[in-house]
Amino acid sequence: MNQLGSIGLIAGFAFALYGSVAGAVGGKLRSLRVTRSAERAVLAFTVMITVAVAALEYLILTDDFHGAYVASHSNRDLPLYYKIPVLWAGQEGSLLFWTWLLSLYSALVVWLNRKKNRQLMPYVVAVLMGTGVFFSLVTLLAANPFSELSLANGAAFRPPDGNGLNPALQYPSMVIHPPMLYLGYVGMVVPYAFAMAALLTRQLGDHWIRATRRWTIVPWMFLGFGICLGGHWAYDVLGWGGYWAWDPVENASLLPWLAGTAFLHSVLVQEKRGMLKVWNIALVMTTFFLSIFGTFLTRSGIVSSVHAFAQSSIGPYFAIFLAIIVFFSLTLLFLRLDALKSENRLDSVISRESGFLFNNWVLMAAVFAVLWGTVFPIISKAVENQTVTVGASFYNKTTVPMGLLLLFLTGAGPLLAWRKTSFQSLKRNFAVPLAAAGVVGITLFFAGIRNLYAWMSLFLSAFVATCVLSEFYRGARTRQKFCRESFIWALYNLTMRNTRRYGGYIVHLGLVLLFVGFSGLAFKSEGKALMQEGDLLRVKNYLLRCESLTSGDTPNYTYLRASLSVLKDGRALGTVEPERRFYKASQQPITHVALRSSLAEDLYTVLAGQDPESGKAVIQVFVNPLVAWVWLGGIVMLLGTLLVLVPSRVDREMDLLQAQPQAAEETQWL
Amino acid sequence: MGNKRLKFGIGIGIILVVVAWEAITGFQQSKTYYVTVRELLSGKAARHRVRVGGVVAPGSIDRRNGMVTFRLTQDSDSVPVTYVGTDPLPDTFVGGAQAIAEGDYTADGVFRADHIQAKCASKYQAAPPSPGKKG
Amino acid sequence: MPVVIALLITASLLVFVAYPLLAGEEASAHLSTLPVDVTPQVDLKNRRLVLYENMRDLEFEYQAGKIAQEDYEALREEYTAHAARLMAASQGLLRTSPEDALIEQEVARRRNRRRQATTDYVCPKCGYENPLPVKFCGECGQKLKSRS
Repeated sequence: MNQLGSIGLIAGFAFALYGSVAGAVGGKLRSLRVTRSAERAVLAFTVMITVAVAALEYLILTDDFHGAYVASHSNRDLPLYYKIPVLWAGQEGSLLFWTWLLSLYSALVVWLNRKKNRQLMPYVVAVLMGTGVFFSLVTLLAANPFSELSLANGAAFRPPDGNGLNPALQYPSMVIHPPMLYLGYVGMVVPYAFAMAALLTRQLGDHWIRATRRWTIVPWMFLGFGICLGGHWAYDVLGWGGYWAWDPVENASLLPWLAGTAFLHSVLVQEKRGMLKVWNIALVMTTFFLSIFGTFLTRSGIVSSVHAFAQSSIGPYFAIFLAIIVFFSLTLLFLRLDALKSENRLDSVISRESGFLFNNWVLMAAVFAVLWGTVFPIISKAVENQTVTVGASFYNKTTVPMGLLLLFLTGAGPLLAWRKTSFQSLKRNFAVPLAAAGVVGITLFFAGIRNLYAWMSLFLSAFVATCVLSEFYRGARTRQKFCRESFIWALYNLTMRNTRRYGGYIVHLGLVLLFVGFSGLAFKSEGKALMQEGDLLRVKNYLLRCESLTSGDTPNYTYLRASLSVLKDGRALGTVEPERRFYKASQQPITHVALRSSLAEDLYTVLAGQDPESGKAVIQVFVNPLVAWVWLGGIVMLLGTLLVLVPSRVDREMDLLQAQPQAAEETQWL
Repeated sequence: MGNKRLKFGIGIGIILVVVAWEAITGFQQSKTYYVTVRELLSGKAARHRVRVGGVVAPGSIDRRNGMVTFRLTQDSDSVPVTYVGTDPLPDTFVGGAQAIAEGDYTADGVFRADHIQAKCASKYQAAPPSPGKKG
Repeated sequence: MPVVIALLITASLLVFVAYPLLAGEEASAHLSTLPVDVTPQVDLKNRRLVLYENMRDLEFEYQAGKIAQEDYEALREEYTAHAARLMAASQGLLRTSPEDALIEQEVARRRNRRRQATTDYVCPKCGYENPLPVKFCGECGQKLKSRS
């Protein structure tokens, strides 16, 4: 099976290499035959990488510890649903997984465009397969998951059991978190490929933007959802009471998400007004660059991080690939600057366009700040031979004001008219939301909220929520008036007619929920105590009593469990049972957090350790207000994005036009 | 036209100034030097708010009266560390683990750490259970 | 055994990939060049559709009370003028051969110049020569001084 996997990888690499060359040649010669052959090479690449992935999964599921990868990441007693994700638990496997997802995306692009975008496709294939060449090559040379264990004398070696999967990864949201994140990272290659193809063919109108609209939203959605899952995992598993720590690896996933968000917004300006063409291409390039950079940060161990992937040899490969991307992108962009003239100018500071522009500026400033903090250890090491790291307060000080500004724009932007907005329109649109936010703000002030950022965040949340809801309300009322529909039906039709806009508004609502959740961070409280049966611990208005301390044994781990009964303001709320587990295969302890979650606040209890002298359990308790709103916000954002992906009537008209019949060609394609 | 640019420029200018100011203060507050044990001992590095990275000497962890002391080593050099933080030590903090201690290096040669991160050598990348590896 | 299967798969994929290159010349002669994605007509039509959508939006937002009358009228004027220009352009494309198009362009240019001599619809802001008598510049929306 190891040979089968290796053959899959090598053949996949060969097909990718051929595909990228044939794509470029086909585009240059405008030859349909060469292009078609290149497109078939993409499918061949997909098949071969799939063979490799299947081979590795087979090795994992059959406990074949002859393979080094399986031996170090799996063990016999691992339950099946945690054996499948072993594929992406380590360096080698996750690179293969990355390559596989790339091949799936590429095959889908080729299939869905078999009748469309014929001029762009050869170059799209070239760029996709160029990336494929890189990833399959790195997997083959630097991180081969099919290498086998052997003894010093060369004889094959098959250990009786493997090292086991890292217990911190044995958690449901960790099973889907990496695939989501990777689907996001990898997917950003598609809009990039289309942008490059548009530059190469000089087809720089709206065409490529329309062709890649969904191809950008889908990876953006996966990335955002992946980030949320990561936060949820950190919160539920790591046991430090928070969900975001500005860890380099977390930052690495945030960066392309922020750049992608900027792109999704500025694209609208180009579609509607023919402006910001250079900016849009630059943003696609930035997003793709940051995706690869994120993979690089995660995988190379160049910055130390709690995720702590081992130092490895893949760093230089990635550095070279990143340099190639930058060089290739910038050269091409520079050569085509003349063809990217804006069709319109910015007319007024108070207009939808400038709202989008401000949004872009803020997002890019945030990208810059986060990137700066993340790579500063590397820069300072290179410049003054002193590694200097920056902590959370740097990130908080920079991103919090930017986030609040962004939140304001989220509500205000859609209320501005294109081109210019008169004072009259402003008054009309802002009166109600400002009044609503004012009421909320004053109420909060008298309720005793004095933290400026938390207050502003809640004030703006009220403002934005009112803005968005009034958009829905006024839209539906207008439809009701003209189409004689019931309010609910009008609301439905309004949304379905332009899913992109109204889905976008729902995403904005999700963002509001996120910010409400973030404001809760200002009001955390925590407590810690050594406890045994009968001990009490008071945190805020909670009183916890240790009922029992038990230990036990399962095939996968042994555990120590504390059973704590909870009283809130004297009212019994049942018991929570934090655990501390010791996984046998990997010989690692890990805490198992017990949570009591509600919309208002979470009670978060951790069995942090056991005092070696007294045998008492170290119990740590956090009271985290409003955390549930963060998860809620993430779900609403996901649903909103899904709504955006539903084709609206406007889109369908456009698509019909796009698919001009090219009759003979379609029938013989495959 | 000029007026419009001016207004736009002022808007962006204000944002940039605020962000830059926040960034600088945040940076000053939170920047910490990262050194190895040897660099710390050679006195080249700052002694205040540093993060020192090394390996926890196996068997040196001593928990007494709620205090934890251990030695952080790099090859033959080592420095005694006293943990004075309030957070419980991470699960991965065991003898032989790589650890980063954050705190001050006091005049009496003891490093007072208020924050400790540790990563087990085998956390994500377990060493293969074999004497050799074939390519 | 798995190795044999892998090699078989690889070989058949090789044939699959090479097939378009080796297929008979006559069978695919008409497919030798890539078809065009966006003809000028389609491009113009696309742009017109976008514009119509913008106009519908504008109307809707006005009806919903989101936009003041003043802004609404200025924008509507601009969109209408723009749509008229696109319409004219695509009709021109349909009707004329390249030579005809050149002649028509020249005619239009001279006609414009003459009209300019009598009534001035050059925009003071952006300098666009409006081909029709308009109240607002068709390019940038600037209000033009009417000369009655």
